Amino acid sequence: MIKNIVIVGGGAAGWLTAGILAANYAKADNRAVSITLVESPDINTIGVGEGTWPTMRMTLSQIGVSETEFLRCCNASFKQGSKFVNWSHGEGGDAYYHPFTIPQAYNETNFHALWQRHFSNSAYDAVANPQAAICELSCAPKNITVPEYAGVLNYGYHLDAGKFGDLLKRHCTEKLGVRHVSDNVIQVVAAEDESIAYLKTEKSGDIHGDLFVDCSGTHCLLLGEHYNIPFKDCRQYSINDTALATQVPYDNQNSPIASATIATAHSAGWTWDIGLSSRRGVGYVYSSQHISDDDAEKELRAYIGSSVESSVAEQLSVRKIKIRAGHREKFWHRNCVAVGMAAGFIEPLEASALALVELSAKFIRDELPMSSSTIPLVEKRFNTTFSYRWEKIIEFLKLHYLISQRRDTAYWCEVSDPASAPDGLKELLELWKFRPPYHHDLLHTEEIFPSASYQYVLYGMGFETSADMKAPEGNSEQKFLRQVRESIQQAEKLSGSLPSNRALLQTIEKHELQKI
Amino acid sequence: MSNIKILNNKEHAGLRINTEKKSEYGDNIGGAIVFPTEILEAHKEYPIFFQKSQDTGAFQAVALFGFRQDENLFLTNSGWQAEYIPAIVQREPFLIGLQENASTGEKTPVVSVNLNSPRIAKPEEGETVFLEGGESSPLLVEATRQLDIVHDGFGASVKMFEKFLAHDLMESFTLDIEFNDGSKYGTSMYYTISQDKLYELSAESITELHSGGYLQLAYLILASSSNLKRLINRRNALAK
Repeated sequence: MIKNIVIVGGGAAGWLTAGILAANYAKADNRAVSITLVESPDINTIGVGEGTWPTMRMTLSQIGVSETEFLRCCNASFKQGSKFVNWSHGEGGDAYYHPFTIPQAYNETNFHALWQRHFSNSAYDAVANPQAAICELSCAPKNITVPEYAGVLNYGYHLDAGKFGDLLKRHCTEKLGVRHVSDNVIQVVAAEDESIAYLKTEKSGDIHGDLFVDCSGTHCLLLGEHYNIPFKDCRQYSINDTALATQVPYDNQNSPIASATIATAHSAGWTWDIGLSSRRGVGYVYSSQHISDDDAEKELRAYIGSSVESSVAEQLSVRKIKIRAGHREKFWHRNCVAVGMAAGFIEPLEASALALVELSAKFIRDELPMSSSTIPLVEKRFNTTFSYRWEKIIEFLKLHYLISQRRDTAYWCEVSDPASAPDGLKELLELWKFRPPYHHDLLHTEEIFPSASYQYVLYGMGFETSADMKAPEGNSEQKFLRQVRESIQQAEKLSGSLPSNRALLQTIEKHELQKI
Repeated sequence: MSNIKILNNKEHAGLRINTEKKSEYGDNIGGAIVFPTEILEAHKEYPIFFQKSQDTGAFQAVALFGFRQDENLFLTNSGWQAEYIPAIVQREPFLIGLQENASTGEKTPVVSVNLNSPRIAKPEEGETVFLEGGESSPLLVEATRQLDIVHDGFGASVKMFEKFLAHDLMESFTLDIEFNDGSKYGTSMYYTISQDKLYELSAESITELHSGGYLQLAYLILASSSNLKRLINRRNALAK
């Protein structure tokens, strides 16, 4: 029986995993499974990864955190997708959205064909649904009368990762019965069968467990240091190896808060721009092979200087983070499973970090082996699933570069070179020249990026799919056409009824979102 | 535009108020907020549902008079045909203002009046607010009583909804009505007491709710929904 789960590491990954597991197993009257989280008091968490997917709403709701408390504690704001600027041509002005809401009628018909036939003069994202227009206005995805975790439009969050970890820690220890040990692990002790028996700590004695979750970040204490599971380097597909991160104050307390992550392409990488309620988080992710740190910093400050006083932009302190793109060759080994940066890391272009933590923790929760004998089966399933997910994330991120028309720097020539793409992606791109991506291109039901995401990126960047064999015909075409037209008209109505992101967050500072 | 002044018997000595209920005085309203102390009376006349404030998202109980913002099916040529009219309507054109003490900064509630209200009467019409000696007229005494209901009502409402929500007694529902003339009305903005959840309350919950009077309120509000049929009948009768 798995009775004791031990989590090593207390960043957002550790506490989120603890929360997801404890919310499920703490419900039973006699705590069927106990959860201990051991966290070093000497190690600071990295605290990047400030964007989430819409899945975070369900996750937080299941953990039992109120949305009002979450928004207030984490300086969080509403995120409705990503805006990609200068990725296609880079001459200034090209931009498209990858919103969280899938295109209107997408699951019932061939939306791409409808768009091509009837709206080919309009941008794909503008025809898909009102979300891109709403984001452009910095509107919130809901108003104060909509219950917590529900939206008029689909949304996730921008959040302060440090504060998020603190909130989850408080909630896990006070409400969900998670035992918190603040101590350094000094030795991992194996049992005869090479599974982990217990952890020796400096002051808190031995911590025994049946299942160990490695959330120790890049230290990868259990899976890496103890088990020596090799790290699979993915630099060939993701050459950005450095990030410069900073925090930018708002001009004043009424400055608009963007409702999407703004990812702007630059000479040797891209900047993220994430609007929290309290400040912006901005950073430049780049390839150190193609630009010096000093020049990258200049580009970053110039970007920030376009939206705040240049004197403010010059004074911001900038933190350098090394990125090692890749993941462990396997994530689950014996009675140890790695979650978060211990499992792998990739640039935050589509904010996949926290989403992968949620998926991993939910997999562990749902398939928790009830006896030691089934551990190898779950191990195999977990590794197959997450190897596939990593492969798909790497492919999807690479797609953003591969179809760019930019050739203005050596960097863009290199990242857009077909030879630099994984074979799987190259094959799909060949197919997509003749038909759009659709559901069958992807194997899993819980696909990490649905086919609609591929369409948003491909057609946002001007990719051309020539023939389209599966166009809707006759009456059904008229029906879907009407739906799409209505949805476009809805944008105007929504922009009148939705408050700004800033205004709704200010209201939530004073008043609570209702549970119903 | 409102023109709100603190009421006093010198400045407003000659003030007169129209007391009849008429559209031109602003009584053509589709519903009004009701407070817990009013529900015992109001539930006999009107369907009482809950809705959220557009500004704060907080729940408030509302009595329905009609199916449009400006439709009051109780309002006829001979006045408002009901035994009970909510205090928030009855107090018009008076309201509670806050007067700040210049030295202490303390704010105290004071009776104020909206001088731009259509209820403000011409010199020869309506009823007086102050008697000749400057004392409050019966009209003002009554309006002040209604203002007290409103003033105490907001806090009482907050407590009532805290209890209802804590015991998970509320649910949203969809109103979907087709009138005899073929016209339709639909909305999902309202919430009500869930009969199932009310019946499933544990003994402890019942005791707790009963001790504050909330159990009775829940049953009264649930019972008030039968007035919806009568309101629809009023609407159908009107169309003939």
